[in-house]
Amino acid sequence: MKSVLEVENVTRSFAVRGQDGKPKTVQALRGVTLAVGANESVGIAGESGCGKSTLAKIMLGLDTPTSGEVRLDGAVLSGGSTRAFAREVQPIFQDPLGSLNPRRTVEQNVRLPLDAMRIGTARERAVRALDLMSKVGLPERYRHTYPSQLSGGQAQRVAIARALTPQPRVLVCDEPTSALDTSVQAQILNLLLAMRPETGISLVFITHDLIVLERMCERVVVMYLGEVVETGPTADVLAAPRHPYTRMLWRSSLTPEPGADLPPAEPGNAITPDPANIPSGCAFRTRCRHATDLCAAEAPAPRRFGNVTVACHYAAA
Amino acid sequence: MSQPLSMSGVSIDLKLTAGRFAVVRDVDLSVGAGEIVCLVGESGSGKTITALAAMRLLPRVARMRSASVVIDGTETRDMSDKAFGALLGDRVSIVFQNPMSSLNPVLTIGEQLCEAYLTHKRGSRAEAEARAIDLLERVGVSAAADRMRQYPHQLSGGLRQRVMIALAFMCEPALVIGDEPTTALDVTMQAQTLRLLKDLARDTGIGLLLITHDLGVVSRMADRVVVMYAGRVVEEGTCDEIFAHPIHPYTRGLVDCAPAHATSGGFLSIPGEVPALSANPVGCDFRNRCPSARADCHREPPMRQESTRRWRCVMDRETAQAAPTPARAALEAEG
Repeated sequence: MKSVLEVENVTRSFAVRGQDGKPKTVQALRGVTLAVGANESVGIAGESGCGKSTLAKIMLGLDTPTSGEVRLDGAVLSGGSTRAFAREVQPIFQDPLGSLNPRRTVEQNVRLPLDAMRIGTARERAVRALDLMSKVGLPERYRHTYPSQLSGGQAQRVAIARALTPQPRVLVCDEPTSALDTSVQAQILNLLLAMRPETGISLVFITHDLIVLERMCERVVVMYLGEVVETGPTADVLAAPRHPYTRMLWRSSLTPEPGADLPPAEPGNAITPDPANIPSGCAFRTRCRHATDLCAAEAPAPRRFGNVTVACHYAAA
Repeated sequence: MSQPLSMSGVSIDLKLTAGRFAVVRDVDLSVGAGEIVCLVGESGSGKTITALAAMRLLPRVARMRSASVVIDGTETRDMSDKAFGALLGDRVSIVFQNPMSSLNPVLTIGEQLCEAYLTHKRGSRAEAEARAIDLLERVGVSAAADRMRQYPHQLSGGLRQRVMIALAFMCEPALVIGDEPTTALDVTMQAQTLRLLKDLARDTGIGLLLITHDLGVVSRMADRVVVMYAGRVVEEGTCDEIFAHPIHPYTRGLVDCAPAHATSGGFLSIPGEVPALSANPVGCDFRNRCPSARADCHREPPMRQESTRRWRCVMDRETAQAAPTPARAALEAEG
């Protein structure tokens, strides 16, 4: 499959001040490589601090990697190409109301990318905006409504319509439904699924919810402390997760099963280490019940098992 | 042993510039000793404000009409705020979603835990500290004695929430209310924290009222489930009854909506939206989204009862359970 969007060996570090006032470096991304194919849906899973949102910003051209590169159709993203890049890669954020301009009407919000990139005539922009509003299930009567008058689900529909106006190749969705109620979440996820065959668009779906990811994405990338720990076809990875962190995440995903128990207690406080002070060797070893001296001494190199790649010393076929 | 919580006939109005709105209507809710009751509903269903009313923590714009709220065997309807204040934190306590807004940033963890105890119990500082350390250890905070000297900002979000849970159990209350206590946590931390909360409630016999929108959480925590929609209780039953044999069309729709129940046709959802607030709503609030709606749904639906179950619907159990669920009716309509 031909890749549309590629991220190669990207690192990103931030200079911060610690609690003691001393400067230190947070390594948000530590050599991440991934590729998004045409019309493919790739899920990125991990907990807070794993670097998934930093990666989203870099994929959107909103942040610059410390090293490594981002490519669109093989062309490297550089400072001069951000406008063209923005047309092809569009965002959907978690907080739908916060991501809309409160002083613009629904229609103005939806056509904003077209106006900003000066695509088409004013009439064409209006036609396209109305067309997309109807595609995402917003009747024409919402044209002149302001975002504050919308429900969370409606606002997220506006954000989706807006992202689609410049006909992008890739949508980067950062936790697009975590702020929504369950019944509304289902409507928004269905909308994202429905437009894939129609537009041929690729999805990058960032979430902490593996149950949603399982249904939304063909491929999954599991991240821990700025690194990819396991990646492969979603069905293969979730049928038998090989990395202990993927297993922990999957066990903690609570599907509605009356009578089912909660997962067993994890060792220690099960706390993600400070990203400014990443453990030696395998970063996950401080939370891993199988960790040995080898895990502290040596970082595990990614290994392939069929279609799945895992970074764990003890991963087995 | 008396029942930790028994509320009946609770109605709450919001007085806003746009007018008066009924946000909670005629809610009955009880929690038994050692029982975990989950109060379920989507945003705006009135679940949080019902719990706040039990604790007299309603915002100024809200008014509760005279209702009976019995906490640990004591009727609080005619109690002065001062007398009620003595119950708060002692017989009943609450864990909110965001621990940072409940912990005092300028007091150490130890000072806050001990203060709660010393305010309500006759005991020495040393006893308070021993109990605090014991509780911190039970909620999985390692190096508890060292943590006692730390300030909230020095702890991660997951640890802070565990401190909040320890704080809620400090005075051995009869009732602990958790308002989405794990929603802001990462999934692994959520599962761990729920386990601690469940074990603690089981070990101590304290009643737990857990407010949540997450059915995955409900299915693994609840003994009993109370479902709210648009300010009313629409169904109540044991955990197994609600998930395996829901009766009310809204409950049946909600169970369908869980992402784990997605079909090859996509995620199941309830079409339509929650009705807007109004001053005096009449009839079934769910009728505009219900595939089984009929003419008499414009009248007030009866609350039906069968042993542990109750549901507010014109349909009896057999008719309701034979009807298509909202999500499946919508799928069929689309073809």
